[in-house]
Amino acid sequence: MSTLYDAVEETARTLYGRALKRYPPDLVAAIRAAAGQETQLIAKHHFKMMIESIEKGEADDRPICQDTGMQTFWVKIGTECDVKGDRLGGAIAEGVSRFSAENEYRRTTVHPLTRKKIGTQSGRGHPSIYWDWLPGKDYIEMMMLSKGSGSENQGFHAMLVPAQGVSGIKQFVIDSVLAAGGQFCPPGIAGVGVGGTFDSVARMAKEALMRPLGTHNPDPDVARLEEDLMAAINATGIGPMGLGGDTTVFWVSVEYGVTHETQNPVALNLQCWAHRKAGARIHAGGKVELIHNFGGEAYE
Amino acid sequence: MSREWRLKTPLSEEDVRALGLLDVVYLTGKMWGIRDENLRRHLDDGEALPEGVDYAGYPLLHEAAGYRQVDAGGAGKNRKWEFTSGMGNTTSTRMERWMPEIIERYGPRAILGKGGLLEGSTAACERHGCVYMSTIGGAASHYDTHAEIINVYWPDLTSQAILELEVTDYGPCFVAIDAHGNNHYFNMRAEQIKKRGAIYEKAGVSRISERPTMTPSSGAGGNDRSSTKSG
Repeated sequence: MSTLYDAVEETARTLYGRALKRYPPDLVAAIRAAAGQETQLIAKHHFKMMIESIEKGEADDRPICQDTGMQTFWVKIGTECDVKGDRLGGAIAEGVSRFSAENEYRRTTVHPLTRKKIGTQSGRGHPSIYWDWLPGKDYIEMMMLSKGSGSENQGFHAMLVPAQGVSGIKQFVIDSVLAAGGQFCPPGIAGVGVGGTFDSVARMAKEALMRPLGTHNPDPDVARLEEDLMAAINATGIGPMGLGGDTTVFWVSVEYGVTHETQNPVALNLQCWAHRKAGARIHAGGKVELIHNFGGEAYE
Repeated sequence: MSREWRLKTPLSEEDVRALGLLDVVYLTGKMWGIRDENLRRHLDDGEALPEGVDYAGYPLLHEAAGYRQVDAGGAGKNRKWEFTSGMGNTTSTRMERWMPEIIERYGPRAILGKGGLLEGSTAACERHGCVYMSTIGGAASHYDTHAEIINVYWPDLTSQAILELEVTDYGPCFVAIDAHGNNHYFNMRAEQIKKRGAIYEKAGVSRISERPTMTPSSGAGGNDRSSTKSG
């Protein structure tokens, strides 16, 4: 089955480029909608330029944002796929590195202490890959996010205590957004994790960014939290690039997990307007279709 | 009301003293690209700037770039470098630590980037006649078609090298710190602090509680964020 591993590597390579050069339709629609509702002139000017650069990137087949990002993959493997998992991670890492090298794109990765470039885009512990299963399916689905550092640096995490309650969660998110200001290239998306443990809450915050914009969490309590946070964040008036405006986030997605009765973990991962997300379905025979979301219709 | 300017570099002190907050500027002429590692090498490690690097009067862009050297035979005499993944801005707050000294020692007339600069740079801008302009983060595919790389200094730093750029109508650049001590981000922050109570109330933040800690508190909020963290 070497063709499947080849297809996975090739798909990782394709998705990286795709994510940099074409933004998902829900994001583009959100920018257009915000532009239509904006009341401030400077903010309107920003939206106009955002749309222009998205169109230019697509027309010129070039990255829209200069930050080639850090890559996270979510991979769902059909249980009917004849595949050995241990080789899939390597194939994805190789696909990412090969894309950077072939195009001589900016390689963002450095050693955390020496700050020296490691020379390839993939390296120790990178890209992040999360695995899941698709019961009864004979294909693999893969979603990727190549996230810029301006927004990734605006990531916040706290082990609150139960005494702080939901009120503490909301205050944490509002205070964190105010601390971030224009640094995360707003307007963007707020990914929030609630509950779980120290590690899982951060992962949930990032995963929340992958949900289609405009879709609430099916849990009504969580959906209400999303609405409250969205109203609060946009009431700050931070606006495009922090210069002021009516929209600071296009959407707030909250993911949750059960937590210990003595814990109250919360994490916020802000995302910029350059939402570099792409996905694919890889069939057993090696045929690859592009998708916008897990389980989504193929569009190419 | 914000005005629109088309300016040629080098900029004069008069040029930049005339600019007001949220004026929109388009720049033509020489500009320098700087960022973390080349600032660190110069100001922390004490290595002199390479010969030929002169920031006096010019705009400095907090930049991020993917580029390559073009084969001499391949692409025209004057164009030794070209963008690959492109060039845009990067978060300026991350470089606040170095910027007052750069403004004071080298006399650039404008700093370009995103996210803003803080107290030290605002004071240095006022004292030495310099402004900070915000460009739109992420819009590299627009901005870099108005820029070319003329030379690369400290090329071993690759995407952290110093870039000598030639720009044409580079913009829009939004004046966010003027040369008179006004900082638009600080004005925004003051407004946000004023309405924070109302935002809490509307969101249902019922009590401002702190996470229990054994060290003296740094204020309400219940978490230990650093206020200078940026990206």
